[in-house]
Amino acid sequence: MRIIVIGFIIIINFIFKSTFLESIAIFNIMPNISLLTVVSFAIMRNETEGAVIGFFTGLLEDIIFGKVLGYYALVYMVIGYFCGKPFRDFYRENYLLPLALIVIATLSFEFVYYVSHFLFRGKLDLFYYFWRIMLPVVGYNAFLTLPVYRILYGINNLIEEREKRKRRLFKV
Amino acid sequence: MDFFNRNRKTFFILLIIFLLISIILSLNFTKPTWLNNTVGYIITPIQRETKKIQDYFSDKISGIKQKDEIEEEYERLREENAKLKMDLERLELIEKDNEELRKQLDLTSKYPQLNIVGADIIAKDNNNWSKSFLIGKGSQDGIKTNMVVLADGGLAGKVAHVGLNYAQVIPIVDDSSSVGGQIKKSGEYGFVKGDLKLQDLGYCKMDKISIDAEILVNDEIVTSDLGGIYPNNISIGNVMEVHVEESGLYKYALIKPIVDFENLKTVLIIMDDNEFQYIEDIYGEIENKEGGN
Repeated sequence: MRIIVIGFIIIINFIFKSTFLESIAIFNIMPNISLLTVVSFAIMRNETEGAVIGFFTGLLEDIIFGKVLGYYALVYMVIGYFCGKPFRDFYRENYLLPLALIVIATLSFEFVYYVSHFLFRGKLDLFYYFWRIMLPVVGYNAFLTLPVYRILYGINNLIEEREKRKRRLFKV
Repeated sequence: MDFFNRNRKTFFILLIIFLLISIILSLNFTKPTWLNNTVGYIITPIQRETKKIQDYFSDKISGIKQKDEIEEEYERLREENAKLKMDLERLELIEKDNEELRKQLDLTSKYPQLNIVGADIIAKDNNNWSKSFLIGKGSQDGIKTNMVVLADGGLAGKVAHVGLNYAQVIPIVDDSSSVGGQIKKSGEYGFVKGDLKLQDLGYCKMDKISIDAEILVNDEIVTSDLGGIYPNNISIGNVMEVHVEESGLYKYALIKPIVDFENLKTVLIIMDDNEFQYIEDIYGEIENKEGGN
């Protein structure tokens, strides 16, 4: 049940990202919806699930859009793991934690992308890339984190209620 | 699940090592792997349908009142116009070549037939650094990597990556794209590269133009006759500004491409390289004649 719903969310994410997001871009900057779902699930559940969801999200993007196989999978998986591990038993209704984590995660994601795709080709103008691309993405992601986190939190609650009913109290 | 939970750390470390190896190994992948084919085959039709929905809504939102038939007619005419413009350019070039060659050899010319196929754009790349897009035709329609993609009568990019029913195109304004270019009037060479810093203007940067080359604003830039990927004399764009590089050794120019990448919906793909066949035949004939003498 959980696997089906989360798989569906990952696929919807990807399709949404590559078709609709372009029309809500501001100044040519699109938010990173995959990153929002990975970090949200990493906070709500444990780091294992964050890493696995990150892995499959990144793998899907790699297969269709990437130049090498495994780059996005690696980055999203590491982000999912490190967002889930220290904040494992935090209070989940808290909306400040996703916001802070999304900012840090987006900054590191974009910075790693810049280093691996641009710095190694000799484009050294970090100042331009930072102010024109990295910061606006952080801002747009932070703006969308509350609605996305709330929606995913609601979906997670529905799934958990289903699972609670199926769990047996005493192991026979 | 217990086994998995207990050895979590080793499992993750192994997975990370596996992914790193996979990145290194896949750097040299040229043909589509079975992974691309299966996943892409399922995902891209969904992308195509959602893109159609998005196009429908964005057209409505743009606020222009047009009847549906007029819009269809307009798209059809635009596509036809683009093909005709391309044909016209090729015919002019062929006429010029033909006259020159007729003077040198007694040759009845073969007109190269260019095989052109149209395709829709079904998805655009989803990170903010890259401008590549996916088109709806793939290896089952005969598309191969490094095929040239045109639109609106000018160069749009080339195919980077092919699956069964989709292909990824890297446009000339993408940061990693580099095309050999030539100034149409004077014949000087340069490299037309895309630059992310010029994305607001939508311009490309033409690099490494010789310092004493004659280049003025509004000159036309075409693909050069050197190099094996792009057929020559396809127009790329017009010069907007000319500057001297900081090193003082070269000039560079900002080029406004002919293709309007913001509103691009359909592209044309050149299916084969008969152009090069034609040139090789001519050179073959010249060598034979000289060898015979």
